[in-house]
Amino acid sequence: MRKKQGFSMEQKKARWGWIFVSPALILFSLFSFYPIITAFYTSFFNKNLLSLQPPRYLGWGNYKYLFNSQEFFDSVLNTAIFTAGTFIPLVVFSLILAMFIMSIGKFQRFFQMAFYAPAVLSSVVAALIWLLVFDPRGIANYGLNLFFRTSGVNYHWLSKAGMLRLSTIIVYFWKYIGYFTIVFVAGIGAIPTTLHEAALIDGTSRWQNFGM
Amino acid sequence: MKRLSSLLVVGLIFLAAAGAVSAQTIELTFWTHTDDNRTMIEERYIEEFEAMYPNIKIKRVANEASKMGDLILTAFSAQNAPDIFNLPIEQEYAYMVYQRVAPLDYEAIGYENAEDLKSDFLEGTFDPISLDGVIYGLPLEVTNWSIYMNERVFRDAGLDPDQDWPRTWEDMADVAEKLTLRDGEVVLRRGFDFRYPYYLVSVLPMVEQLGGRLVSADGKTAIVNEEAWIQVLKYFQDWGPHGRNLGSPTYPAARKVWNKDNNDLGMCLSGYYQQARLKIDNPEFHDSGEWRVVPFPVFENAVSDVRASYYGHYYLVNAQTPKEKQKWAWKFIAYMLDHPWEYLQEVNILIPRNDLLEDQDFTELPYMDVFMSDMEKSHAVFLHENGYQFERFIGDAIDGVMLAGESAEGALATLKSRIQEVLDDIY
Repeated sequence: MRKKQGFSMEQKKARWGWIFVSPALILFSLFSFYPIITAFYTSFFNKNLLSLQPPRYLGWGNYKYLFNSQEFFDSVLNTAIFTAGTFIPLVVFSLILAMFIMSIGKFQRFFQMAFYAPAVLSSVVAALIWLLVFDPRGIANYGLNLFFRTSGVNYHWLSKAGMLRLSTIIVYFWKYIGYFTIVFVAGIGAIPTTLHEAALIDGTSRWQNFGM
Repeated sequence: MKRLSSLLVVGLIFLAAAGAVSAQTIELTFWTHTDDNRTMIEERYIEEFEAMYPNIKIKRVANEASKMGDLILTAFSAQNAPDIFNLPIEQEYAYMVYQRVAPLDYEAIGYENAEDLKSDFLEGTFDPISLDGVIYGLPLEVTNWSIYMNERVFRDAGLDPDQDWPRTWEDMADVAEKLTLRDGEVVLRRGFDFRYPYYLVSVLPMVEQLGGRLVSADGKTAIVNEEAWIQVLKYFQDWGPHGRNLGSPTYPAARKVWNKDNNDLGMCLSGYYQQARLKIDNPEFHDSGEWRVVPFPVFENAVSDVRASYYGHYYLVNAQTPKEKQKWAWKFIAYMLDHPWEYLQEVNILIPRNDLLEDQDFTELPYMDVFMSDMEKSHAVFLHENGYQFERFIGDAIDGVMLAGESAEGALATLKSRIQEVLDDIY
């Protein structure tokens, strides 16, 4: 008699995994993939947002225009600077903060909430706060003047290209450091402590244990 | 069985009746910009209108003025626009060009025809809202800007407000310099600062004073009289942090700061409506008699005495709204705008109706003579289907010379090529 073939535990877990993940996947596809695909399709047309006439097909015309535009390359450069200037410090510092939170015995929840708070703050409110900070009479100029022991120097936080890039990076860093920290805390917390204990018994150093 | 059939019939009758009632209810969506004073009176007009016509429901949504242009454009692009809306006229123009707004329904607003309507309003009121002889909107306000002065700041700087107020732009820079207080490079008190995002209303007239234009008369060439543009761009360069350091777009908006009377701003540029906002923000300063309004300055070497352009907000109706709803939308707009005195007294905005303008009480309002005198020397704001885009290009040029250290010639060359590119795409 043939034995009845059932789902293994792993298969059952995988199936429930798909069930739990599918709402997020559907919403993500709807609100992220669909606009991306639509934007790519629209990029082959000359479309006036107000006109009721159908958009005019241009082929690769918009892309040719883009690659002949200095503004496009300036924009790419600025994006590259922003990405490197934001995400490298974000990853490094959020990992350090996550390690700090995991290493302390008390107040873990407090620090998680404190670091995460800017992420839940409305962008409009955040922008207003930082406009006050970067105002020529604001705390940013005051802080730098105190640090460099100068008086009345305007560091042009919002009016010089380099400082404007730095301001943007600072705001983004402040807003998302908490989010990245929580992601790291969750990741580190999921590693079984037995692994670390086994590694320590095998004679690894603290750094080797951390890297593992 | 018989009982069941009877219940079914009664149920169907009930559903049909409910459907008929809901079919008769017309809901109008109405998007406008935030203004607490106007919200107060217009919410009341809605209540009154709904009481008069119980089948009409009006949903009023107020958005931040600076966001309205993008919100309305996105809504129209997504075919999900409100039935009634208003924008500054320079942004409304494109909606007429692309036939996205409905022609005025004279019958619904109680007029026989265009001539009948025009006879009730200041001459030229409907020019900015007409295209090929068709009128598309009713005026909520027509506004021009003059200079608001804080007399305390003048006296604090040792100036006499009666004598030393600026008549020319050269005077303005010199007076602003005297009023400015600094801690090193940081400006603690500005003498005056511009309204940076609104370049078509206040900066383009400065260029026109010197004989320049944004677009040639035939509409095909960008930037007429480059010398005039360069003089204005150099003026802004000199005004900014790398020049005389009198102000810049990175400081808080002057019009809002001025109301606070915190000894951090001497003068700002605004319309008559500023007085109503001042009354709410700072009633003590409003009633102090320590402020005044003086005319929009002119360059010493001006070839034309043009003052800040007047602009308007006109209520429009979405052309894609069904005809029956359009009729009710116009009827409601006309009902609201039939209260010009209340708009003037509560919101300080001017609906240019002749019965209001000819009233003696109107001419005796504080500083109305200054605004009306400036308006006589001004013209309607520059109108073009891409006017909104051009205004951003001018803003980039001004940011370039004031903040990014660009030369006036370089910024003008970029501005010219960007506008010309748009014009070439049209013609």
